Amino acid sequence: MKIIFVLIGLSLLLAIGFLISFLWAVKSGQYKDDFTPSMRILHDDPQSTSKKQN
Amino acid sequence: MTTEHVGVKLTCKHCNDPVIGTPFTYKEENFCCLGCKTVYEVLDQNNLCDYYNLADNPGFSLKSKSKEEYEYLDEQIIIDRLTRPISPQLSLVAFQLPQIHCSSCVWLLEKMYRFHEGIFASKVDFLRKEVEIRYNPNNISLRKIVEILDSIGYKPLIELEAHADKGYDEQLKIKIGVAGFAFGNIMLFSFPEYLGLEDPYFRQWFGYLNLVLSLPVVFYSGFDYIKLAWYSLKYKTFDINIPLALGILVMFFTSIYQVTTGTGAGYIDSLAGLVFFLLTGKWYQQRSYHYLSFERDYKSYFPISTTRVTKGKLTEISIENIEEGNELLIKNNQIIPVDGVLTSDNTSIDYSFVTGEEIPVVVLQGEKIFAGGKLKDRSMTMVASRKVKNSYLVSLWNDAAFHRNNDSYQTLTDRLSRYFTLAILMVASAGFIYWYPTSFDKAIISFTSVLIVACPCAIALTGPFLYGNLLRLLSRRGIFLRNAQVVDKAAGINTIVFDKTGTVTTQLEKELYYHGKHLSADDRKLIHALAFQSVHPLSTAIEKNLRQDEIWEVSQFSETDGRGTSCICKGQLIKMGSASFVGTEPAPAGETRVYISIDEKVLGYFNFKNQYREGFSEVVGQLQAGHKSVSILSGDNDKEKSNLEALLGTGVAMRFNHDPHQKMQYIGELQEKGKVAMIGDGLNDSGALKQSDLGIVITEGTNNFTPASDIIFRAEKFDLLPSFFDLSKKAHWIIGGAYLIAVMYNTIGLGYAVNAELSPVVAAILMPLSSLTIVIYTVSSSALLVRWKLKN
Repeated sequence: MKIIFVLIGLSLLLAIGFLISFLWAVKSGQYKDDFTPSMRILHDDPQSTSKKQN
Repeated sequence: MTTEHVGVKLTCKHCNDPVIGTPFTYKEENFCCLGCKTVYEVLDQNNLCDYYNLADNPGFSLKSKSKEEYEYLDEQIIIDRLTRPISPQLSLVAFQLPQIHCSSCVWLLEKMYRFHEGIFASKVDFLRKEVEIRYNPNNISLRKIVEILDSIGYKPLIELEAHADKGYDEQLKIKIGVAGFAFGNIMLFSFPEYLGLEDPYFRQWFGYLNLVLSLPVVFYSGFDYIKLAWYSLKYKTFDINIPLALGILVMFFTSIYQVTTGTGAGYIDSLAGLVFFLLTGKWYQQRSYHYLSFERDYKSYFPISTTRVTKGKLTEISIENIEEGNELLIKNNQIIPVDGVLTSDNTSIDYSFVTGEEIPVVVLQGEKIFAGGKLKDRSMTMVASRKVKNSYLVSLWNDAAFHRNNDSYQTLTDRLSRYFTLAILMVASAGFIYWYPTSFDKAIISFTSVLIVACPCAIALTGPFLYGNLLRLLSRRGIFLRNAQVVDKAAGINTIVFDKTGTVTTQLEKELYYHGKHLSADDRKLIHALAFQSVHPLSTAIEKNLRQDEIWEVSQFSETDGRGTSCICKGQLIKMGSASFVGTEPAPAGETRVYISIDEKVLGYFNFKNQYREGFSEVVGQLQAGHKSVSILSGDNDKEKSNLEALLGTGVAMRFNHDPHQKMQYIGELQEKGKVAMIGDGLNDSGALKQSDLGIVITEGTNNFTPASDIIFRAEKFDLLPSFFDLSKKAHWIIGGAYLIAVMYNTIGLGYAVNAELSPVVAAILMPLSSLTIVIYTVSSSALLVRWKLKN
């Protein structure tokens, strides 16, 4: 059963890793704008010559 | 006799507005104004016309656009203030673009690099209505970038003053992250306890681990509650933070005691959960609309710079630097930034935003002119007689009302929480006294258990989730609130004051009908020729609707104040004005008519349908039925008094000829008797809006200038006003219901607690369960309330 202490230590380390990556994401501004990407993804690049006609 | 809708039924390719008069055309497309046409040309030349296919109605009307000079953007001081250099070849600049409203905007603005090779990339933040541009300062100037944005119809809102820091938001997210991390892991390590594993070795080990994990929760994430509770005690406001902090501290210290003595597992899971839920509620409530500003003052209405004339040479000067005696050049449609004296020929100035008076004022050479007016004629020159900050209108901002901090307002939750705290302390003490003779230990356990289980998490969550959800739902219906407290404030309002011009009246040119004998093409030209000469708003509206390619010469033009105007054109006498002016039967009250006569023969009249907002009399009627007293406050003269009385009855107090300072005073007088809401729209209402208990601004478009206020109301939702006040009152019912639920859970919990039998498991189940119930209840009931009260 001693192994459980090692496993718990590992799981905690893993969780701390996630926490740190979350902090980094917030700090680097990834949560600043959580709306625009959803609009941007729908657009294709414009055809440089022809006009789209639907 | 005919009745016709004057004007052609075409819509503008760019902005989709109806085209009034002759359209502007380009490549077989019609446009309502030159501005719209120019944008289309620019986009067409760059092959970016897909803009019009991606979303419905992407363009913004440019009819009211005035030409702006961006010369001041070449000044190094201004460049330094606006841009952020990364390297010599790369600079960053961010602009507020209030016009951003659809996915086409995002698409187009992120194609900025196609307009100039000096622009590397641009990124739009839709909710903040902001674009961030990366560019090479050696290749393209800041001014050129702004001119490109302007040319495609996105005129940036340039404000040199730094905005309030947005860093707080980030802090809250980190706090939630830390609390969530601790909460999850603590629950995991509490599992053996939940499952009743009695291994003392595990229990101790996990207990210490949980204690360590709880440290950042108490001393970082939840520390604000303890701090705020301390202030609340110090200033004797006794708000909701006191019972919250009490709960947090008692749970923390009880847990330390239990874990270190090996007597139990403590309540660390409940503690972490409490803080996590509280912070989530705070975050839910804090969402705001970054693009709307509730803090604007005269600075965002005035231009940043103006043209100074020194010895015949023109230079751009920032308006803060204008000194007494400076000679300034003001162009058509520009705002006069400072009080002064007119030095060029007679001109006319539109003071509607300052005084509420719609008709432009004729100013003679050598007469005084005031800051805030808009020039309605060719360019003029003036000499400044004061500095900007000492100008008459601007001096309004020096009043005490503008420096009062409104955020010390106590919400219903805060007011109730002191009774709540008192009640809990009484129950806890009763339990302590009951157990004390039998067992001191049990007395302590009973005392602490009560404080833990009765912790007002449920009550503290009601406000944030209820108001947060209302804020969101109302914004979808065109009602934008500054913060959550506004709903609570609106519930207490019993006096409502409307500004007249712009608030309860609409723009005239929208709906114009002609009744009478058929107008021939020549008749139209004659009427247009006369209307073209006059600056009266009614004439301007007629002129726009009858626009002709050729304008006929007139002679003997005369204007009789407030009655009508006449001239001779092609040998015929044309008269336009009130019924008595042209000599016919008077118009029925409440209707605005302009009669036309040619050679003293009355042809008919133009009917201005909605001079007052649609449903205005119903709105006032409903407000009065809701036991609110209504008054009208106007900077305009009292010629509309009889019309208003016919429309609204005599129960409405009316005040005319009030300047901005007097408006503010009037609100102050009303406040001695009750809670006053001011509903306005312009700069002239700023003082009254600030002085009132609840400032509401009516706006035709969210990118218009709006003075500082609590609520921004879309004009087309004007008829929802009474329902909104009703809704704010009904919100108290929901709070009542939430308290009932909280009391129910507390009674269950207290049953265990006073008997000193509260196990950590029971606490860990009760706490999240009650919080969850409250969240689901408030969110769904507020959604129902909005649907019931504000039917679309």
